[in-house]
Amino acid sequence: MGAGRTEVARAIFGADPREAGDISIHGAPVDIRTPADAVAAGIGYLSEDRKHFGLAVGMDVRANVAMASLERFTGRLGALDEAGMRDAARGYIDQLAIRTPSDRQEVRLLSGGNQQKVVIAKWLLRDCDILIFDEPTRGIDVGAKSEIYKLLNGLAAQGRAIIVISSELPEVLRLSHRIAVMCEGRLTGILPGGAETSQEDIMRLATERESAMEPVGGEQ
Amino acid sequence: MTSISSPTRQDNGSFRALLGRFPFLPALLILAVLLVLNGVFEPNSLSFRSLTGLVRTYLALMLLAVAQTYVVYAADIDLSVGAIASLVNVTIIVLMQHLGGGGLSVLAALGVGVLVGLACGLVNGFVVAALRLQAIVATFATSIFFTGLALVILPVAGMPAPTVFWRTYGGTFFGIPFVFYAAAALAILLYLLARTRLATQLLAVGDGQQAAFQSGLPVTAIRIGGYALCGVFAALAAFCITGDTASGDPLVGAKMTLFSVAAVVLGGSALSGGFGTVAGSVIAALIIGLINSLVFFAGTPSHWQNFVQGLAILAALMVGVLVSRRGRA
Repeated sequence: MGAGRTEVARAIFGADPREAGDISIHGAPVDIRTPADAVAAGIGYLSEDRKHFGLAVGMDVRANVAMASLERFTGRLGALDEAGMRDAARGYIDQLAIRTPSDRQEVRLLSGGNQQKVVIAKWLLRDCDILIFDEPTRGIDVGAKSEIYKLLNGLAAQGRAIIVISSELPEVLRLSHRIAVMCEGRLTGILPGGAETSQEDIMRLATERESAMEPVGGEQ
Repeated sequence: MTSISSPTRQDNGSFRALLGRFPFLPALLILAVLLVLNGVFEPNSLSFRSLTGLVRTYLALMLLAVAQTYVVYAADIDLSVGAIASLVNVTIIVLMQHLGGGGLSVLAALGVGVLVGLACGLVNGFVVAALRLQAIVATFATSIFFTGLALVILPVAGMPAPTVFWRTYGGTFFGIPFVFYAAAALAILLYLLARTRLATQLLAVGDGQQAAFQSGLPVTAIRIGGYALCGVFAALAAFCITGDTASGDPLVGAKMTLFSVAAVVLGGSALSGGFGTVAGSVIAALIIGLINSLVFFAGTPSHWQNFVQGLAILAALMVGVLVSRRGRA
């Protein structure tokens, strides 16, 4: 909001057209024009607005988990391997502790935190190595928040690159290895995560020039 | 208190779950009521012969309703299904005539008919999904265009279908009318199609186009796929129209377009996309057929028939909506 963090993330993901800049993954340049390109390159984007941009809320957990990987489940004559999709969905329901009565439950009936986990499962099933979380804990209750933090740390420990966009400075400091700070659409600095950085350091960069008050992108 | 209220809540919950899984249950209920009413007014209307006639006449509408359902899955709409059916009807009639009317010429004409339907569907998909024109207006425009083509191919209604064609459609094989074989084949085809990736993708696009796009789905290709499927089923509907009327008519399908939309809604699918079944649409097409026959058997004076028919469809829609609302609210 104002700083341009979501805009950068959406441009990287191909959801909006990129005006300038290049994208490289592991040093190799990639051409991303649509989300399909980004997904093929192993990038998953978890929007702040899950219901509009992340989930088919009227469809069940099974379909949503498989949504980005349907090619893999497509067999002869274009038929979907429902058993394979069921097993995959159930695997992630266990692994991510998604609270749902079954994999046939409609996603709109799940809580915000569990909906978030369904989106995560969708990208994990697609083998995405780079995950962009846009305000992952907004609208999620405190208990689920710490669960999401644990999940993010676990994913990073598996060697995945996690980009977290957040306005909550304690969250940013707690999660990040590197913190990129933006202000009014510009990158104003990159700070180390953890104890070396204070909230004041971030705020200084986030308000550099003029008066914008919207801080912070964090990278782990 | 809990012991009293929990069973009803449970009932409502399981009713809801049942409706979620089978959104066409209200339609099935209405169908049963209509069958009974038909039987009351004219016991003969439930005879094997009458029911065969019903299916023979309304198989076309069933197929058009199915065609419409696939685009509605993706929150699109196709106001040209009837025009596509007309175009395919006159195309195959003229082709069969030119090729001599033998068995092979019939098959060749049917093959071309499917391709014409497919091409019309691709045109619709292109203008709606690739050019991003509003589906309701764009397909209205293509419907005029397709009707125009049909009028060029056969300016006036009346060229007859080859005997072998309508004899087969209206015929009986091993004691079972041909249309029942066709209906069975349709059921198998719909069952298989419901399990395809395209069906799931269409529903996902209808549920939320942005969410589908940002899951990496090729939204434009999927919507075009829906229209293509719709075009093919409109062509199949045209075969049934041709078999039933045994002639060509460049305007025959026009009046069926909005009936197909009504059938989709009556069958429990959401016009807003993302939710529905083709089975519901098929049942609803039969409901519309039964309403028409009921209006007839109830002895409605002919100038009142449209009026009563419209009221009856409205009533059926209301029953369906009320039942669904209770289940989904």
